[in-house]
Amino acid sequence: MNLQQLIQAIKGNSHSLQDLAHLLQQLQVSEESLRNQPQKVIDALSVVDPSRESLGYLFLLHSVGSQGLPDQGNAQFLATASAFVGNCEVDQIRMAPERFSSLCRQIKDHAGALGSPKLAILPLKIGLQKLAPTPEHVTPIHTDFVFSCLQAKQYNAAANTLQQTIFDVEPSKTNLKPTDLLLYCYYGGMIHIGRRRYSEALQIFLQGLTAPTHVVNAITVATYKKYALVSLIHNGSLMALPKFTPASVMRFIKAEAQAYTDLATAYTSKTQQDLPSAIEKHQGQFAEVRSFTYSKSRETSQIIMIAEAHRASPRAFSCITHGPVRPRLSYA
Amino acid sequence: MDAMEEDQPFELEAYASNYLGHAKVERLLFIADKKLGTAFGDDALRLAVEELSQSENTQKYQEAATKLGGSSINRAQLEQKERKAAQRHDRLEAELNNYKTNLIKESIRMGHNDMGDFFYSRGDLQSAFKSYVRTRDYCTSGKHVIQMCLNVIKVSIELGNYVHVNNYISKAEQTAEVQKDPVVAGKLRAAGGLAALQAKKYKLAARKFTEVPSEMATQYQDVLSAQDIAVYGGLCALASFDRSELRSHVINNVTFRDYMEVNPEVRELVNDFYGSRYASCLNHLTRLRPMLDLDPYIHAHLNTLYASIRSKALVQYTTPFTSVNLPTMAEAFKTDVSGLEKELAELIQSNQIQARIDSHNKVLYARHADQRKATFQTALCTAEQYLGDTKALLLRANLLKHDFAQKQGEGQEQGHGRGGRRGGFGGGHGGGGHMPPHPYLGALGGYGLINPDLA
Repeated sequence: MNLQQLIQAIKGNSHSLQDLAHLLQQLQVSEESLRNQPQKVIDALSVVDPSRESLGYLFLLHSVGSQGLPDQGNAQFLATASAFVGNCEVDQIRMAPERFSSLCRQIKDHAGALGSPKLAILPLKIGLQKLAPTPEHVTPIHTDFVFSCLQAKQYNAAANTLQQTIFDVEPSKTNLKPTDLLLYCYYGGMIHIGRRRYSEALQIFLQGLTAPTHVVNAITVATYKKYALVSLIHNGSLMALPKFTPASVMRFIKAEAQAYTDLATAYTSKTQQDLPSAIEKHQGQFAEVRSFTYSKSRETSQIIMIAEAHRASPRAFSCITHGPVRPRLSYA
Repeated sequence: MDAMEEDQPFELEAYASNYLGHAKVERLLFIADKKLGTAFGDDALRLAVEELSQSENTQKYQEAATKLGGSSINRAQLEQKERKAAQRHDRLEAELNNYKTNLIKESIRMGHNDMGDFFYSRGDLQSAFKSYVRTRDYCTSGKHVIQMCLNVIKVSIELGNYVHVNNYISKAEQTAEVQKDPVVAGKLRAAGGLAALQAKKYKLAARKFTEVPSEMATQYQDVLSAQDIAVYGGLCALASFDRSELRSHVINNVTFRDYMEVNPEVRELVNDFYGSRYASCLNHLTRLRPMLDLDPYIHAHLNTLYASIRSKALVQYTTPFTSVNLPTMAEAFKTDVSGLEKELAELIQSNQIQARIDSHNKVLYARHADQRKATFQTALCTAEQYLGDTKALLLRANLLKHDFAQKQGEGQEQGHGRGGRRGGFGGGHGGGGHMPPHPYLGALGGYGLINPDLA
């Protein structure tokens, strides 16, 4: 059906549940054709009411957004989408979760491309609250939201959301993919590090590491690296992963993550030479770590400082190991 | 005086007179080996040769005499002994065969026993061991069993085979007669202590040695003397017991006290340690050292034991105080401050002392854990951890319910748009195969809550 008819359908059928179901089918069928006429769709948007005809609006907007991301981002699209997310009707958008979460992803991308990821934070927060059937559900929007906070360095914005314990993934309702969950754990952990909440960071990293999986992917790799470093800082030693960690992850750690295990043993053995030499040996790998966020570089520099303390005064070192390991030494 | 002491750590004849038979010879030869070339060593060797010339062990006699210079070997006597030994061997074998054909259990047992004794006196320990073990099948009474066990133990100790020692000790202890005979019980305990010592189980060794009844004192001279029991027991106890155990098992122990009377140096050592007179205690240790170095059973363990006793002394010194002035402590331990500081730092790192050192002012500040606070903290920690674990568990259960695991090859779709935060995005490292869901759930696995046919 052509665009005009579609708009009619939207206007007519956005009231009762059966109508909406019927409408959904029609929208899904017409998606392809919508993609071919972007300009007309943009015009159509002004006719459709986002707060009452949310389902239709969603599809239309989504097809605009899926035109591709221009280099500088599209501020207007971002504004429209953000407004929509604020105004949309919850029941309607829950009927098409994958479109909605995809739209939120587009919001995130545009905000990032525009150079102010901050703009995405509020819409995404509202979005995730609307999509999740209960606060304990996790959605792909959670991942995008946390990512935007991280990009914008607004760590506290994510605090409330991360505080909420998640119990449920329901892919049918939320369109969550395993990678999304892993990324959520990873970014969430990074936020916690930025806020210096190391124990919470450890918990969420562990959640990512022990999620059932048959293969190891790069997210798990990165999660493990961060986990190792945070564990050293917070606990003074690298804790072994629990029994129920997937076998593939355990195998990976034995094979590839040798640098970090070495560092951990050197750190805990407290001998003077081992620690700096372990760091130097794996300088390459840690350099990659250091290029990360500000908080990350703080923690590696903490480790380096401790190594310096080793060299300077082994006796003083024995003192600080029994307090919290914050190297506030004065080299008197 | 020092030079003489160095040359003559103790009175050799008196030392040797504490032992009989093989023990005497072994110890003297050990001393001769250790002190090869010195006058002391030569004295020991001479005494050993003298002793050996009285015994039937011609081989050892020859070896020892050759070391001494070979001039004093009485060839004729030696040959005569050999002949006599061969004769005796033949006679014993003939008798044994006779008994075997007659099938008289007691005689067979005695025959094997005599063979064992013969081999033992000749120095052929393996054959002696075999013969003694053979008597086992013919033992009819508890006494026989004990006799057999004691013989085997004696030979095994000399062979250095402590596994057998332990086996036969337990065998002997199961016999009823042991309870009635304190000498036998004592011998078994002493042997047990020795075995534990060689196995580096110092606490067990200390327990065994301190439980040896005093009646045994000089009855085991062909293995250990009363002084040995005192020394081994005392050192192991100091190195491994805590204060209350030390008090109950050593200081207030009537039976062990008798042994300590025999060896006053050890008695002083233990009392000084208990009374916190560390300088004098460490002095005793140094004085004992030359003699102990020449003891075949304990010389290998001396370093560990001494280090252990020293660190225990340091820990004991610091326990009652909140702050300790390091120079005073160094004075008490007759050492210098920097060395002391290093030792204390090591103890702190190995968590035996909870304290901090102010290196500038040379003071040690102890940190006493507040028990009550610590308990509350542990309880809170455990609860929080439990909470966290349970939440994680619920999430994982949910993941499994929705079969939410990442399958191979799924990673590719997410390539673009994620930016340069992580380099590279491999789809997977070939995990391969479908894993059973149970391991992921930890506690929940096996409760049948998850349908394994999800795939």
